[in-house]
This record gives sequence, C-alpha cells and structure tokens, in this order.
Amino acid sequence: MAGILLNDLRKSYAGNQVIHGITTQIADGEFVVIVGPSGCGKSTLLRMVAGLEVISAGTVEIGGKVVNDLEPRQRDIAMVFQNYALYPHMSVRENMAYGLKIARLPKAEIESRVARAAEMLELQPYLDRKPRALSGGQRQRVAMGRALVREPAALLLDEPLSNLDAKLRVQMRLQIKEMHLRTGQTTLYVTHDQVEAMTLADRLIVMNKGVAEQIATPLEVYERPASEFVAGFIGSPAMNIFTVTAAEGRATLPGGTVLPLPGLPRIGELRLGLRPEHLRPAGPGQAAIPVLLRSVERLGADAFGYGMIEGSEAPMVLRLPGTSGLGRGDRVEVVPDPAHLHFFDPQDGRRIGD
Amino acid sequence: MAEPSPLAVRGAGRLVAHFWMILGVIVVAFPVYYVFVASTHSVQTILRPPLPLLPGPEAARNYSDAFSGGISRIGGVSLWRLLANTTLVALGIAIGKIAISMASAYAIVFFRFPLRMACFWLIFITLMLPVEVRIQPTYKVMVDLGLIDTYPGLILPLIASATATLLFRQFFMTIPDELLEAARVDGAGPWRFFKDILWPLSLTNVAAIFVIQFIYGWTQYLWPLLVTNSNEMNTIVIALKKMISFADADTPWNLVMVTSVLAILPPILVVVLMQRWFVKGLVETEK
Repeated sequence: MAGILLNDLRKSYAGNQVIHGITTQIADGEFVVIVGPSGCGKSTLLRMVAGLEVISAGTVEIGGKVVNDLEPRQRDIAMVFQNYALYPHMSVRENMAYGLKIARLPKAEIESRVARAAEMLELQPYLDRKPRALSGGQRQRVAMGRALVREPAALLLDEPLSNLDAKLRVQMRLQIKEMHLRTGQTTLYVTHDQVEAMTLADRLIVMNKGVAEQIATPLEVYERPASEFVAGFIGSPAMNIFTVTAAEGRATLPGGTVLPLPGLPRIGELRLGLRPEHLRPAGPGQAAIPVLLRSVERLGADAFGYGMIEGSEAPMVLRLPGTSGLGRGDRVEVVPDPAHLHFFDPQDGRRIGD
Repeated sequence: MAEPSPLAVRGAGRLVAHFWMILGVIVVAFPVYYVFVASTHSVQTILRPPLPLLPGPEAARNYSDAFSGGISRIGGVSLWRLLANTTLVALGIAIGKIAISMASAYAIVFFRFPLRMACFWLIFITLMLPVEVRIQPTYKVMVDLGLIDTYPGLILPLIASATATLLFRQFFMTIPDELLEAARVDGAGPWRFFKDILWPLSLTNVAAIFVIQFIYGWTQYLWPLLVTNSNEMNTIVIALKKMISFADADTPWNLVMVTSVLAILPPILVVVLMQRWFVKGLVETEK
C-alpha cells in the first residue's frame, strides 16, 4: 500500500484540454472520492492514474515512484469498472485469480487469497459459477473481489455502484466503507452521486469542467463550499443561490425586500447562498424573506417547499416539517441562520468572506 | 404442452406450408439421393435407362472395388490418397484462413498503428475481386516458388480471406473496451489477452467459420486443377472430373458415383457434427 501524488495533471485530446492541472496528495490508506457531474473529467482523471489514458502533462506518483510511462500492470493498482467487466467465460474463482495467475503467484497463495476475498464478500457459494449466472449485486462483489485479491498499492473504483438498484446501492456502500476500514486500502473512488461521496470519503475532490473546484473533507465541502458550483452540487435539495445588492449591514434581495445581514464581505452585487435546511420561519415583526410556494413535496419526515422569492423569479427551496399543512399558493416568511451564510463573487463564483 | 409459436399456422395454411417445404427438400435432396442409388448399381444398369429409383445389390462390390484399386486403375491414384489429399487441403485452408484472418482482425481492432484503416480497406477491397481475376499472377508466383504439385501450393493462395477477417473484426468490435482494460489492469499483455480472453470468447465464431471454410476448401475446383499436374496430388473433385473425361461408354459410372458419394460425405459430416456450434456462432451474441 502506498500514497498517490498527483502533480499538475493535465489531459488534452487533439489540442483540446479536458483536465486543467490537478494537484493533490493522497495519503496511504486514505479514501478519496472524486465527485462531479457527468463530463467533468472525473473518470478521465481516474483512468490517468490507472494508466488507461495517456497523461498529457504533469505526473502521477504511486508509492513515491513516477508511473507516467508504466503500463497499468506495472503500477500496482487494481480497478473496479462501472459495468464490472468480468471475464464472461471464466468462473468467479477464475475471474478473481486471473491477475494473480499472470503475476505468477504460487498456487497455494492464490487459493488462500481468493478464499479470503470470497469470505469477506460472501461469495463462497458462487465460486464455480459463471458471471452470467449471477445477479447484478453479486457481479459487483466479484469485481470488488478481483481488485482486492491483488492487494494493490491503490484501489481505483469507477462508479462501481451506478448499475445497482437503490436498495442494493445502499447495502454495497456500507460494505465498501466497512471493507476500507478493515483493509486500510488507499482508495480512489469516482462517482456522480453526492450521497456516496459524502458518506464514503475521507476527502473529496469536487470536479467541474476539468478543474478541481475544491479538495477537502466532506464536512468542509458542505460547510464552506469553495465556489458557487460546489455549493450547488453538494447538498440536497441544492442550496438556494441568488444575487443581492449589499450595503452596510443589509442586503436588497430580488423582489426588493431589504434584509439585515451580518458579515457581508463587501458592498455591491453579491451572490448569496442559503441552504434550505438553514432557513427558519420568521418570528412576528422580524425582517424576513417572503416566499410564494408553487408546490410542496412530502417525503414523510420532511417536506420540501418549492417557490420563488415574492416579487421576483428567484427560485427558493424550503425544508419544512413533514406535518406542514402548507401548499401551493401559500406565502411563507423565513429568516436565514446567520451562522450559515455563503457569499460568492458574482464574476468568478469563488467564495468570498470567510 | 409446449406453447404454440406466434407464427404457428393452422389448417389449410399448414398443409400448404408443408407442401412447399417438402417440395423444396425433394428438389435439393433428390439428386444427392440419386447419386447414392447409382453408386449401388452395376455400370450396365446405370447405362440402361431408366435408372432405378431404389438402391441396387452392387453396393458392397462397388465400394470395395473403389477402395481396393478400382479408382487407381482409371485415375492412377488410390481413393485413399484422394481423400487424404482433399482432407489435408481443406483442413489447411480452413485452419490457415482462421489463423490469418483472426490475426489481422486482432491487429486492426485492438492496435493503433499507422495506416491501420488503409490496411483494413485493402483487405476489404479484395472482397470484390474473385479468385479468377488474380489467377494468372498467383500461378506465376507459385511456379517461381516451385510450389506446383505441392500441398503448400494448393493451400497457401487460398488462405487469405477478407470475409473471415471481416467477420472476426465485427465480432471483436463487440467486445467491450472495459474487458480489454480489465485484462490490462490484471497484467495481461497482448498475447495473453488473445489466448485467455479473446480466443475462448471467439470459439463459436471459429467453429462457424471453420465449417464454411472447410467446405470451401473441399470443393475447390479451378485452383487445384491449375496447380497440380501429377495425379498423386489430385483432390477428389479433380479426380472425379478426370474420371469422366472418356467416352461415355468407357466411363465406369458406378465407381464415379462411389467417388461422388465419398466427395459429398465429409462436408456433410462436418456440418452435422458442428451444427450446434455453427448455428450458435452465426446467431449468438452472448457476452
């Protein structure tokens, strides 16, 4: 096992740059999730680490060794693919043993490693089956097992749960987490699912259009998103972000309401971000944001109210109690929690203030 | 009870369908049957029309005569030798074609090299040229290489196959990229990937192409005719042709018919034995 070092990693296809210089250090045993919308370059980044894509500029180091020019097999990595990519003509056992067989490990060693992985993944009853006789979840576990038996320096996973149904995904997510705790395997995990990202990661790399917008722990990303993009991407429902005109100690919202706000970082136009869960109903006589509801989604424990700030087109999402009787056409007044205000630069979208 | 097929035809429609089917089978199979019938009669019976529709009493004599020297007397070469020649040539062509076309399809699909597409199109274009078009230059090459009257001379010019290359290319292109990448991550080089993954997955296709090409090789006429002078190197089809080039009355028709039956038999055997695989290879896209 070993750490991974990405140093100003770039990728271009025919002069068209798609990864714009990513630098980060992944510690030995760390679980890092690369998250972003489709087309943001997250899979490309992972494949560059794996050696399946040529690196245009910058370096990848695995275990202190620059691996840019090494074939995947020389990099001491293992990978789990989105569609599992199991060898269809080999049994589960053969699938898991194949890489070890090529590496010319002694037979007994191969057998014991496969047996251990099969036990950990509860695959013993299926060892002699072919992949086509397995369910999606079982195939996913075989793919995991095939990667784990290699005991690689780095384990790379490319959207490994996206082909599973919702229930199985939750189950496998927990299993992956547990496995990481047990093996302490340095892991790089790509997903577009923010729940997977938040729950699994020691650290997140949030990517957008080939740029790492923020590299930080999940909580930090949630509490102090580094840019408007990150703020909108992490959190569900998404953060409400709109333009306000700031003056001394107060801001004019869309629709003309003036709201006293502490900690405004500057005067003039700003983007203000408020998470739905950080808005509370206003007390009597309190200066508040008036919201006109257009629809309410009831999820049981919670309800989400979708509407607009009164007098404007700025959309607002509110988190309401599950028992709330509010509905379409109702007017609600809310006040933001002053501890959870986010300000972004209207030009470049970067976080301003603290 | 089995579920009726959605295309099941009932009543009169069924009768009509069967009528046409049986008619088709008769048209195709009757000449073959007639050849077999003729091979069981004496020359005299065959030459005195009409030829009986049922097998005659001479089967044992005709066949034992053919195998024990009858054919050698007319053609100068034993039936055993003919069968061995033809088997060798047909196997050589089928296996050679599979080897060459798989190798070239593998290169075209999985490797990036300069002029890759040019190579592909060059192979593809030869599909449009029948063998006869290049027969003169090919003959000249064989003469210069001293391959007239040799097995390589019979086999080599026929093993380049655009059709098989194309079929393998199409099949290889259906292999998901991720399978190749998984093998690369597992440490398989190009040769191991071919041997451990591509070959096992191609087996049904190989079987289908083997059947087609074996029959193609077995029934070659023009090329063996050109490239062999010695009777010893004849294939069975050429020998047949030589046997009947006398005046009608001198032709030992019973032995010719025996030879015909033996010329038909191996391709049928190959098809029957490999039928399951053959059909699988043509219809199945299991992955």
